[in-house]
Order: sequence, then C-alpha cells, then structure tokens
Amino acid sequence: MRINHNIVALKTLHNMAKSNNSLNKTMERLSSGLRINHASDDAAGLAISQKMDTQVRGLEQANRNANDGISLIQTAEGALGEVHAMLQRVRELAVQVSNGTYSAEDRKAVQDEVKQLQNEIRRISENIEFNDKKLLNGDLDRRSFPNDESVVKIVSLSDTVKPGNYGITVIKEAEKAKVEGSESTLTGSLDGTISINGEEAKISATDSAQDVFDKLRTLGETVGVNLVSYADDGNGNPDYTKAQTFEFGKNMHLVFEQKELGKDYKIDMNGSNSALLNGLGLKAQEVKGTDSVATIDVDGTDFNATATVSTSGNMVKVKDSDGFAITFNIQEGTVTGLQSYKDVKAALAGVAGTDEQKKEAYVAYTGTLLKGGSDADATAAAKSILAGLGTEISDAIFNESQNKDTIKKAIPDLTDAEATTLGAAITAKIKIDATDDATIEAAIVTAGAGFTPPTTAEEAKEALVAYKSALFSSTDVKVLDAGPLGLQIGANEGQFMEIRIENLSPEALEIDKMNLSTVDGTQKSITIVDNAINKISSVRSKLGAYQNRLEHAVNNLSTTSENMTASLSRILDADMAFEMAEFTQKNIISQAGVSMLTQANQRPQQILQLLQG
Amino acid sequence: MTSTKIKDYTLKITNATPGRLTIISYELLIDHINELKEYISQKETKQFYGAMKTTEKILNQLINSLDTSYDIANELMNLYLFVQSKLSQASIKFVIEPLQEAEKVLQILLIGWEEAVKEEKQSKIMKNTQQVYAGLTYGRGVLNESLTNNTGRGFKA
Repeated sequence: MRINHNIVALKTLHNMAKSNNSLNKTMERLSSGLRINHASDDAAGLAISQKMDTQVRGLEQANRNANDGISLIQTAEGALGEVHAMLQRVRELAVQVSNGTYSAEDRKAVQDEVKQLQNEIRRISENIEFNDKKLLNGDLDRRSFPNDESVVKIVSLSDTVKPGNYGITVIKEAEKAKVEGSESTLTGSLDGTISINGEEAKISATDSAQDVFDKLRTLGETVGVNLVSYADDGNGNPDYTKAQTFEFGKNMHLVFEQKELGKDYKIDMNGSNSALLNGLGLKAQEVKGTDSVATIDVDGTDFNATATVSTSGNMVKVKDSDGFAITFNIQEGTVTGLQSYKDVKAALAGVAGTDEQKKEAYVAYTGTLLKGGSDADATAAAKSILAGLGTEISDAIFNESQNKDTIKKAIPDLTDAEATTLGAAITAKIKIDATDDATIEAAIVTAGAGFTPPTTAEEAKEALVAYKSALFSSTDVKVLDAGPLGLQIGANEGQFMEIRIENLSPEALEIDKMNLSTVDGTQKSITIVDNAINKISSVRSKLGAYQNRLEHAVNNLSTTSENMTASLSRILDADMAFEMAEFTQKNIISQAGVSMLTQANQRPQQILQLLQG
Repeated sequence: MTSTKIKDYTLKITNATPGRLTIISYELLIDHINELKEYISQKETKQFYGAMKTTEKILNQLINSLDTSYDIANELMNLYLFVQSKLSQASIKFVIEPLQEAEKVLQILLIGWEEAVKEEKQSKIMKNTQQVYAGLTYGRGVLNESLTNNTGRGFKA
C-alpha cells in the first residue's frame, strides 16, 4: 500500500466521524482501503462516499477560511487600535498647546512629536499585513484608477461608492501664498519686531545680515513658510535662478512662500518698525493661497446631479447623499498652457469685478463649454456673473498660438501640420463667427478634408468634444468591483462574504498637513483630528461587525454546534488572559481525553510544512 | 531556525501521537516567539517580520485545528485570539512586552497539555516514517557509534 493512500484514508475517517453515523460502515471500509480501491469495486458506494467527502472537506476548509478571516480582522483591528491611540495623543497635544501659556518653542516641540506620530501612522498603514496582504493601505477597498494619473489620483472612496465611471475636470490648481519682496535697501540692521501669522522675530540694530535672515527663516519655519533670498535681475524683480546668501546693500529680494497649498494657508506679515520692514523690501500685508477648482461631469458619468464638489488645497472632495464620498488629489503641474487660470486672470485684468467673481465666471464658462455648449452660450453664462465681460475668456482660452498642442492632445494621430490647420479653423470659427457647434463642426469637416479623422460630421463632433476637454485637464475615474477581500465561508458557491477596509494613510485621514506650531494651526488641528478619529472609529465598528458575522459562520460550520453557546468574547486585559489560561489549563488536565480531541484536527504534514519557513 | 532544530522537530513530529503533536506545536510557537524577542532586542526588523509570518502561521494552524464542538475549544480559541492580538501589537510597536504576555499564556496552557498527554493511549499518527536506532558497538580498539535508518520511507516535508 502506498503511503498517500493511508493519509487520505485517515482524513476521511476523521471527517466521517464528525458528520454522519449511518455512513459509518461504508466509510470505514473506504478508510481501510480494503473494499473500494477502484471505482469498479463498488461504483455506487464510491460515488456516495466521494460526495460526502467533498462536502465535509469543503465545510472544513470553509471553517478554516472563516477563522483566517477572524485572524485577519484581529490584526487590522489591533493596528487600528494603535492608530486610534496615537490620534487621541495628537488631539491631546492640540488641545494642550491651544492654551496661550505655551511658548513658540513648546509648540515647536509638540509639532515634532506630532510629526513622529504621523510617521508612525504612515508606517502602520503601509506595513500592516496578513499573509502578505496589506490591510490598511486601500488594497482591500474597491479598485479604482483614473484614466489619466497625471491629472488626479484617488485618495479614498467611501463604502457607498458604486462601481462605475466618474468624470472629473480640473480647471485650476491650488496655489501657495507667496510674498515676493521688492529690493531690499537696508545697509544695516534696525531695531524692530517682524511678525508672520502671529509669531514674532525680534531684530536688533546690531544684527548682521546673516542674523536677520536667520531669524526670519526660523520664524518662517515655525509657521510653515519657506524663505529664500534671491539676487536682483536688474529690473527690480528677483532672479529666481540666483538664490544667494542674504546681504545688506545688494538690492536682494526676500521671497516667502507657504509650504502648503490652498486658501487656508496664508502669510500675514506685520512689523513694529516700518523702516525695517520696508528696508527689507517687505510691507504689512496678508496674502492667501488659492484652492483648486474642479468640476464633475454629472451628464455623461455616474455622478448624481445632487453631488457637490468642495476643494481644499489640491484635495477635491465629491460628496453625495447616503455617505457617498470620493476624495481626489490633483497632481501638481496638471493644468498647463493655455487652459491655466493664470492666463485667463491676466486677460480679465481690465474687467471690473472681484477675483472671486472672475474665478466663478471662468468656472461657469468652462462648465458650459464642457457640457457641449458653444462659445456664445459659455460667454453668456460667464456674463451673468461678470457683467462687464466681453470675449476676454474665450480669447485667452482659444489661443491660436497654442492651438496645435491642444489639437494634438485631443487627436494624437494628426501630424503637426494637420494639427495647425485644424486648430486655426476651429479657433477662427469659435472666436470670430460661430454661434453654435454645428457651424464649428462643418468647419472641421472642411479643414479636415484629406486627414484620417475627422472627415465626417460624426468625427467632427467627436473632435470638437475632445478639443474642448483637452483645453482643460479632464479625466474619467473608473471604480471597479474588484478589490475587497472575499471570504468563502460555506462549502458551496455563493456562500461568500466581502471585507472592505479603506485607505487609512495620513493623507486619507487628512492629518498630514497639521501644523501645531502656530496658535491658528492648533485650533484647526483639533477639528482635523476629530474627523480622523471618527473615520477610524467607523472603520473599527465595521470590522467588529465583520468579526461577529464570521463568528456566527464558524459556529454554524462547526459540525455539532449545540455545545458552542458562549460567543467568542474578546480578551483585552493581560491579567484576565492569564486567569483564563490557568482555568483552561485545569480543564485540559481534568478532561484529558476530551481535550486531546479539541486539537484533533492537527495534521503532522501541516506542521512539517511550517518548519520549512 | 537552525537546520539542527528543524531536523529535531521533524523527527519529533513524525513520531508524535496526536496529543504530542499539540505539545510540539506549542513548543514550536514558543521557540518562534523567543526568536522574535531576539530580533527586537537586536533591532533586526527585516528578520523580525519574516519570523512573525511563520509565527502567525503556526498560531493559525492551532486555531484552525480546533474542533469547536468541544467547550474547551472555545476557551482555547479566545486565548489564541488573545495571543494573536499580542503578536500584532508586537509588530506594530516593535516591543517585547506583548510577546512576553503571549508566551506566558502559552506556557500556562502547555503545562496542562503535558499533564493531559500522560494519559494518552493512542499510537503515533504517521506510519512508515523514518525510525532511528542509535547505539554503540565495541570493536577491537574502536568504539563505533551507529545510526541506522530502516528501509521505510523517510519523511521530508
């Protein structure tokens, strides 16, 4: 007899004992290997026993699967418990330093600790794995990817986001607050205090240029602002190719720039001695960054019309009812060339209105255009916000000089010469005499004669749509069904459950940009941490629910479950665990025979395998 | 784990009765936990995470082999899950304390198993495995140590 026959026989014997007494005899024969060695020996008997065996073995495996699921959730839950504790600590620190009794140095020390905690959270989210599967980095969430990763990246999806196609257009990137100093005329230092965002640096008349720069840079670091000094380019502007050591009397420029993007991060500069401030080329002023601008495509894609878009820095959040939320991160440098809002803003300089109105007008214009409206419709929409508007926006956007590139982005097959011809035809029509898309499309067909596409009216229509979306940075985001961890917890098809754990990196928790070194920053941080804690709590409760379900599954899968009355209560306290262990130890000894059976499913082969690492 | 240790364990496992097998699993698990402690004190992160995977697999093997139709299995499950949570705590924080707690629980249970296995009457599970006979023979002026394998199939997992 070959040895592997013997092993199978043993397994079968074991399975049978747990399942069905009536088949005992058949199975015994089977396990002895005596009566049925080939199907021809007892065809019917073999068929029955095999079917039994399949089912029993399936159930055993399902039981193991469910147990693996519990272990996986335990691991994730353990990690989240740590993250939770760390966030609580961050919150505690934020509340602590919000108190006015703490000095700038204290706050700096606290910020350092927070930075470390953030790194820890990042390490946990990136590294925690179960059997080589990463648990907290979003791998266990629905797979999602944008068509064009240079436009946006996806940070997180909520559970209620259904698989589908989601279109998003980036109109403008976020900008950092920046103070560009004029020529510094000081020949020596002066006494005075300079403050940025409420923090102060004391400058004295005996300081050298190096000292002054050093004090300002340290001040900048505290409030999250970078400082660089540049040489003059000869026209009274900084020469950005020449970053140099700051010196007095050399017409140098000080340039302050916020480290973070968006309008929540400002530079608010003041000074007690205007001679000092002005001498450094600075003035009392408040400069804010700007947030990005993005729109979603509710017509062609799976976004509902009720979805709303909000932006903060380069983060775009799309929210809808039923907890629907997608967070995107706009990639830097995605909005370039003629579609950049900067160009449009320059073109709108002569039109009366606030910056905010101009931005809204621009968003209205592009929104209308992308939904298939003509230039005239779009201009009308923009005009309703900015009354004094002429054709400035369309002039800036449909810029003939850069048309070739836009066309090529839309229809990559064209040659340079073809793109130029087509671009000129489109711009001429849009800007000069076209009032509707049909006219423009006709012009495209005429100009496109002899090219591969677009030669038909249908192709012209496609080309126009592509052209319009190429003007802006638009991409579709695909959310797939795949990704969540599936657990097969029954012996048959469909007895399946899904586990989803979203990305919990510091970015996804939105705690990566906290700055506790300023009074203003600490206040914001409390809310930021609160939101992160809520998110972790909800994930943890979801995991708890998964575990309950799995425990039920294990109970049901255990062949005779009537004994299994107590549910698995989680032991958290070590002393409790030792007590329990003592108790169980006594039980094992007093019921020696039974206890041996509790671990009876062990197979020597499995342990031998583990030995091999 | 060193190759000598692996050989030792292989021999033990192939000759183990069901009860012994449980004890061997415990010993294996405790050995691994001690190894993990070593790695932590030497700050060998890479080896630590490698060994952690095996350790979790051994524990998992114990969890999966529980026959939950017995009450004791339920108690054991709770304790194994506690050990598991301590293992993940150790890998998150990279500290020794949780490992010590996990080990203590296992040691307490191991005493129980050692006691229970004394009453075991079953014979070893694996048949036809390698058997080792060792002895000393005296020759003229020499003392031979001999190690004999039977012709039965040797096991290498």
